[in-house]
Amino acid sequence: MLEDKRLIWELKQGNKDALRQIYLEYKDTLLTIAASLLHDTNAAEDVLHDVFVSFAGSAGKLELRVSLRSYLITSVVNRVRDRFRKKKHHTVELDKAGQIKSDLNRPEQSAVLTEQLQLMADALSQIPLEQRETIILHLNGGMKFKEIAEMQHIPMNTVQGRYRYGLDKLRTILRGESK
Amino acid sequence: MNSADNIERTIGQLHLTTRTETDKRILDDAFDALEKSAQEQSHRSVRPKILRIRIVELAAVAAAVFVIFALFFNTSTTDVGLSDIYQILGSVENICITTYEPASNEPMQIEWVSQALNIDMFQIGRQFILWDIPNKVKLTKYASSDLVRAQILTGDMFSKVKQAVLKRFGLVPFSNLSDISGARWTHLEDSETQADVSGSKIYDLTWQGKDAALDAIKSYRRRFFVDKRTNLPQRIELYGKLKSETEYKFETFTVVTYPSEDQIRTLIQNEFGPAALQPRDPGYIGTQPN
Repeated sequence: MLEDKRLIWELKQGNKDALRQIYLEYKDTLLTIAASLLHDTNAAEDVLHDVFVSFAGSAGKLELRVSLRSYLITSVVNRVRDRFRKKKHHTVELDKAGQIKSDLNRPEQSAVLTEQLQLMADALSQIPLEQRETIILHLNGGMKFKEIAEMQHIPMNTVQGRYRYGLDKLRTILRGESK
Repeated sequence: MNSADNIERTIGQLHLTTRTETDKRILDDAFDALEKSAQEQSHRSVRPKILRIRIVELAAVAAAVFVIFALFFNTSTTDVGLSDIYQILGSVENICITTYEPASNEPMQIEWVSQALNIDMFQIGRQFILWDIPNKVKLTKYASSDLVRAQILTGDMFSKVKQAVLKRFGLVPFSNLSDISGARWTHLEDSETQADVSGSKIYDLTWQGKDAALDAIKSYRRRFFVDKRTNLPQRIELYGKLKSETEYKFETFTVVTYPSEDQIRTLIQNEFGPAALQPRDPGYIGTQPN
């Protein structure tokens, strides 16, 4: 949060290095969240583009009241919701080969993991957006239930419920597919 | 391993990375947007600057009249306007702004700006960052050691930092109520507020704006505790309220003091050494870790 304040201050002075630093720090997390919600990597890259261009364009007026991470994640979620609202979204399969990567480096495990990650991405696309959003924000965005509740303006119980129901549905879908 | 049995772990492993050409496209467009934003900001400030020069002349006369009035009547009974505060901040040479979260005694950030020394310095935790404009250098002293790292301010960056030092320290969001539709400036009685700042008059500035992160209209309130004698802000509280909320949420507050040039110089030299602020050899690069 304190580092955020310094970066934002430098950004307000027009410092491109600060903007680059923010981009490099958050780009992959934001792309993963957008792609998991949209199930479309090209659309996710467009969202990432729009979020950063808008963020840079409003730097002079920016008043940060949450952490920079929460601010950017919220911006991504809002753009994703806009896309769903406008019904301009076309579902495209996640690119198996190029872009999904595992945190594990051992080759004998990575092939299995990549397959599992693809299955998970497909399963995520089949559950309701609000449940998907809660799961992704919590597990990939690192947001606490309380933060998600504040962001979505809903009670924390509702967030926990969406998370639980979402996981149950994913479990059902995955068990059906893995048989 | 079955995905169904390890759902949370598997989702946590989902990780996409951007392509190099995507990074280039996004950064190029974002840099353009940043430059455009900076240009718009500077255009917006041109007209007020011309007006300010005249106002400063008038303000000097008005200030003299005010001092005589204050000496006779001890305290000012006249209400202060937002534009008065904006103007008077323009004449401040040295300022210290300490920002807190409501429930915390530990400052989030302390900022010292001295127009006399032409510097802007931050303390964030135990880390100090000094923008030394005359020497065109940014010095960072890290909490973990006494090492000072120097970064040369060049070209565009230098001029933008210099402009920032000359601005109103971010304490007043806009100078005229008429700039923002629906903005209001209200004088409050002491009994209506929680903080007790002796010798101050209290005003609320309220307006509506869009919170870009939440993509929602938000009501903002800044509560100014203004010194009765000098009209300088002593404390400013920031509140926010979304449309769905009934009460304002207390977000942060700042305590504003006005140290002398010597006090700021001493502080800088204590942190960055006696040679700080002295004219530097152009080849100076600070003390870098090996």
